[in-house]
Amino acid sequence: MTQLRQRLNLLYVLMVMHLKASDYRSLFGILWSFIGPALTFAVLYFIFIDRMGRQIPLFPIKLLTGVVTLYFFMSVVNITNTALSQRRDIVINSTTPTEILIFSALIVPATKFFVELSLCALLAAWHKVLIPAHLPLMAVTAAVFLFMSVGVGLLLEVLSTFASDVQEIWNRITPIFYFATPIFYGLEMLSQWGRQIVFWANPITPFLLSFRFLLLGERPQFEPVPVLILGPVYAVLFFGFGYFWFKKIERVMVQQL
Amino acid sequence: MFHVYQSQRTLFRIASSVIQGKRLARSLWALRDVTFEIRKGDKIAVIGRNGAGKTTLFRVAAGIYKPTSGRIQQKENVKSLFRYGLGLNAQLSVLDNIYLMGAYYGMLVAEVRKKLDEILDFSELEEFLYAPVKHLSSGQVQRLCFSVFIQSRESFMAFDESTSMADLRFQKKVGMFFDDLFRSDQTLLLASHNLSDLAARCRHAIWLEKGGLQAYGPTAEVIKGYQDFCDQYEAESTEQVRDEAGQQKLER
Repeated sequence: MTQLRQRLNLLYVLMVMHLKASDYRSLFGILWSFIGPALTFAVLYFIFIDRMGRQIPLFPIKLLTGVVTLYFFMSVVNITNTALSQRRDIVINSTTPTEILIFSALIVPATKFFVELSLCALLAAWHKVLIPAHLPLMAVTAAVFLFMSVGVGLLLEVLSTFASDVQEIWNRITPIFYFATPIFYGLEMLSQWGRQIVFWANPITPFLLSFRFLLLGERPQFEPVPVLILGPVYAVLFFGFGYFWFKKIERVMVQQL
Repeated sequence: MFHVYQSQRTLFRIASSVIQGKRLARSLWALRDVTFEIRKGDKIAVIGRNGAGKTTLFRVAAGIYKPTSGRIQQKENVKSLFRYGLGLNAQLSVLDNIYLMGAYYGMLVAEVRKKLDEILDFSELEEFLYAPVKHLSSGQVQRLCFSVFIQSRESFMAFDESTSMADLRFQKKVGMFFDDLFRSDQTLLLASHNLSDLAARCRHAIWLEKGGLQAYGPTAEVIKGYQDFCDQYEAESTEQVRDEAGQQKLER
């Protein structure tokens, strides 16, 4: 019991310190941290509004949801993937559970994502399309999405233990997600094959479609299986497999740090 | 046992080693055949040259590394101090870092709050309470970390070469703290290269050499054996260097 209290206390203190050390220590800092997604949104909006945007109802909200979802995924994967190597000192000199180190560091992107999704919800409310009854389910979906992203990060962390260039390769392939995720286009605009690949092979897609459905109440036109079910299935698979493998070789990982 | 890689592992090298059936890593036993018993209240010195396995022994005792084979039977958790600045965030203030390190050492927020005055008194850093840690000198950082660590006393504590302090005044305070600790019924494991200090404080000593247990017994005897070994090693090394220099002269 004492140990559980100590661990929960450590998780709490680490979360507070991560927030304090992040951009969130000042109002300008918070605004600054939104610059990245805001710029991406602005660029994509002005490039695609004429070609694709006019064919997509509520294009700005859908685009913004897409940008913030992708940013969240990438930052969670990146933080999880480097959580141990960046905290080598703590891992090899204390008995702090690695889970605490990983999950405490996620408080910053999680807070940011919460604020960004709230902004999307406000925009949806302004357009009078928001369904308030969906909001609790949206929070659950965001939590499930967090676990899925952590799972991907853990898998990469495990692979990085064996091969040091995995992180480098991941950094090179992540820009593909900008195009392989239906951020600025609809799945129905793609070829039959393209649609299948983007829907099934990209684990971000079902979550993005879920967020849009929950925000705007608009079912995806292409939905071979309900996205609200597919997302949690991906989360169980990625997190389950990633965490299992991570725990299995954790001892080796600690020695390799 | 550790796996030591001869070169950086990349996907290409791994694939190539799998195809060619070559091993990328060699095994290294950091500790092997080490058996000893520590009773409650014992004060044990751990000595050995660099790379002898002292830190690994401490990490195994603290539960950070799991032994590849063999077992450890422990009735109490070991609280170890390996180095100063564990988990320190240089961007945050001294106050924030006190809470942070306290949490790492198992202290709840309320406990740290209660002991804050003691910590600040011991570290003598009251005037820097809200200053970022990055503005402190390394000696001040050591003072801060040590002051937090000693507040989280456990019945079994281990100090891995972490008893030397920067300034003389603080060294005296630390010395007094250790005097108290050695008089108490706490179990202590202490690694240091300050042999006279260890001889004065510890009744028993463990001498590790190349990951193996070279000797375990009364501190004076073990230290004597270790010093003789080091002297002999140094004499052999000097002789070898002389021989090599002589050989080079002859060749010229």
